Order: sequence, then structure tokens, then C-alpha cells
Amino acid sequence: MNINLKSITMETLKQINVAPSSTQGHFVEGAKNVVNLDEVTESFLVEGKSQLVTKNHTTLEMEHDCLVNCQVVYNPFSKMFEKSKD
Amino acid sequence: MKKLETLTEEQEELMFQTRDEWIDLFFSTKRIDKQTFEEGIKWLYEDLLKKKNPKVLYCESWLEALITIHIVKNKNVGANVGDNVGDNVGDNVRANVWGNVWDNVWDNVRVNVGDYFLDYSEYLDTGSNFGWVSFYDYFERIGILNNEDFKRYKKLVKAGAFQVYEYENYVFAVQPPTHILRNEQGQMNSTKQKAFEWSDGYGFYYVNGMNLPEDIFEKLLKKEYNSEDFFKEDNEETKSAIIGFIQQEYGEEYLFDFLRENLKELDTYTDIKDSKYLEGTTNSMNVGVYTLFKGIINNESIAYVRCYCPSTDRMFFLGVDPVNTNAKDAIASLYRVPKKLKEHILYIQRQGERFSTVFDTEGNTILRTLDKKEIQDVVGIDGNTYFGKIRYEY
Repeated sequence: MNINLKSITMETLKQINVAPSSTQGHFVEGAKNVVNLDEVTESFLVEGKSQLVTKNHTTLEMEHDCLVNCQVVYNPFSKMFEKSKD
Repeated sequence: MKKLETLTEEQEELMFQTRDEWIDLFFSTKRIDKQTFEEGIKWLYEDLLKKKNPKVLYCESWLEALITIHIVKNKNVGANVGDNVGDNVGDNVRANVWGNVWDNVWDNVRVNVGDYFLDYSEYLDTGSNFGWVSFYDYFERIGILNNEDFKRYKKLVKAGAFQVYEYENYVFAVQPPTHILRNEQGQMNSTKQKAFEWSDGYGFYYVNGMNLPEDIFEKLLKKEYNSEDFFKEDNEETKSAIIGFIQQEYGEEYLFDFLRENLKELDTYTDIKDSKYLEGTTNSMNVGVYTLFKGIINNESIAYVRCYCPSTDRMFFLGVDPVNTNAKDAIASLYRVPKKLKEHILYIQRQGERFSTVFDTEGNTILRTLDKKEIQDVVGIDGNTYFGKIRYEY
């Protein structure tokens, strides 16, 4: 009974998390292929028409092949840009 | 059976009714119906899994369950917990009902109905089965599914255990929380106490559905949390939860004073979007409004752009480089693209902290040849270019 739904939806809807550092994750559904291009910048090549799904935000329709990557924010104390965390 | 391709009005109504019943059940604080639960466990183990009926231990909270499992498994108490059987349970019941619904329902119906049910297993990331069981429950109610194992399993799930850990010889069942406090949007929310709490005091603080660490919650409640703490917080969701707390508990004026202590408003840019790009947003007057603030903390120059989530209208303060002089360039500076692709952007979309960028044909070819170093070699674009390319933002 402690089946995690995420594993079920992975199986049925082919969800791939393209936001590994995000608490809730952002999941690509329905893509032909998702390629992890770089772990540092969390950049993914998404091939085929797909949807980006997450908690707290409306689902984004992605009609074409695209690059999904992470917003940066400026940390005034380290004086550097860093990946935005959510 | 004729394949179901569309839903009637009554079936659509039943979909919402079923969904609401399961949501109410999830938020129910009624304690476990032990008799029904233990009968269900006996059926599950003996009839379905062909195993010995296990001993059931009830725990007051998730934490108590984890501690109890650890003690029973690892301390020498003479108990043999056995292996976790959780996956088997799912496989046995789900595989049984899977094909029936899948074969008899058109993809579109399945996906649309799924949208209404599958979200509801995500609360607190517990392994709740409410999402998929409610999904199949709906198909049972409209006559697509008639499976005895599913009926028994549903009855067991409805016995009210918040979470269950099954092992060969023991089952650990977690009692529901004593309270779950929510806001008008149904998000877990409280600025007075834990929004979600079990009888032993273990629980979580939530504001507008976002988790707040206990130390921050306590400081906020005592008005000991200051703007310096806020600007040092590196999680944008936590910062947004803090803003939500201040707005609810102390009001907009307090929030303004809290930020004004260190920040001065400099410039506002409003991105007026075509109405088609507002579909799926709150359509609030805050959508597309960006305000640049600057100030000094500990002799360090700081700059932030205030913006609002188009999906929820939650307020965010995003750190930008203080060299920025206007809000338009400042917010655009948070977008990054590999340098080799900068001139090939067709359009940009975003969902929270994630950007989706579509390139022209040449850009698509280049994208597939970049190595990691080139992917990491990113640049920004100016405000005019950014707002000329951006489409949907959620």
C-alpha cells in the first residue's frame, strides 16, 4: 500500500524529471525522447511534442523540440549567479 | 464492451463527485477503522499474496512508524519483520485492473480523467494510494471496471490508514493526522501552528501549500525574522512562503516596511501580453509586472526584482546583479542560453524556475552537437530580446 504514485505515473505517462534539484520536480510527459545534456546547469534536450508538469504551476505545452534549463539568480553575498532553487 | 470515447454530462459530474469524495477522505482525521483494516490485511496477505497473516502495529505518526520499524528490524527484540512486500501489493492489484480500463477507454478520456485524480497522491509525498485508487474507482462507478480484488483493496484503503508499511510478518499502519489546516484554495496553510500534525506532535508547517522550516516559522511568529535573514535565504519557494506568512499574519504594510528597511524601489516594467498568452494564468493585474529594488545590507549592494507567479499570483523576490539599472533588463538577466545558441532562439517559455527554449533549424542542429563544456558556457540576453521571444509563462 505504500506505493509511490510517482513510480506509477513514470510507468504510464513516461514522466521524466528535468529539475533534479527542485523540491517538487518539473516533469516532462509525452516526449519522444529526453536527453540529460548537463547535470551542472540541469540542461535537458526534449524531443517531440510534450508537456511540462509540476506542482504549483500551470502545465506548459511544449510543441517543439526544446532545451529545458534552469533560471539563475544573483547571490549578492557570494557575488555570483547560481541556479534558482524551488 | 464498446470503447468509451467521450464522457456524458452525468459521467463528468460523477468524476468531480468521486474526486471530491477521495479528497475529503484524504483530509479526514478519523482514526483507522481497525476491524476493517485488519480484515483487509488478512485478505491481502492470505488470499492475494499467499502469505501468512502478519501482525499489525499502529503508529501515531509517520515518524513513530519509522522509529518503530527501525527498532523492530534492528534491535534484538526477537521479531522477524521480514522483507518489504509493498511492491507485490501494487503489482497484484494494479495489474489486475490495469488492462480492463486501458483497453476499454479511449486515450483522451483516460488522460483527462487522470488529470483529476493522479495529483492527489502527492500530498506530503507519502505513498498514499488515493490517486490511483480514486482513478480506478471512477471507472468502476461508470461500469468500466468490475473487479473483486479491486473492491476489497479499495475497502482496505478506505479503512483510513494514512500510510502503511507492509513487511512479510508485520504491517505498520500510521494513524491520520489530528488536523490538516488549509486556505481557501485548499492548500495546506497556517500561520499559527503546524498545518499538518499528528497526535504525538510531529508535523509540518505550511503557508500557501509551501513548507516552512520550523526555525523560520518560529522566528516569523516572534517577529524575530529580519530582512537580512530573508535575503540570505536561498530557496525561492521558502522566500515566497515567508512573504505569504507576513502578508497573512501582519499585513501588506508590515511587508512593505520589512523590505523597505533595506530596499528602495527603482523601476517597474510591465510586459503587456497578447491575451492568448494569458490562458492558464491567474489573469491578475500582477502578471507581467516586474519591479527593480536596490539597497545595501552589511555594506554590500543588493538588487532584487519583485515579480508574481502567473500560475498562483505568489510574490517572489529574485536576486539580480546590482549593475542593472532597469527592471526589464534585470529580469531578463536571469535567463541563460548556451553562447553558441544565442542567435538561434525562436521563442522562450517558462514554468517557475525552468525555461524551455525553442531554436531555429540551425540552432537545433548545433544543440545536438554541443559538449558539456559548451552547454555550461552560457550567456544572458537583454530585456528587449527576452521580452520579444517570451511566450507562455506559468
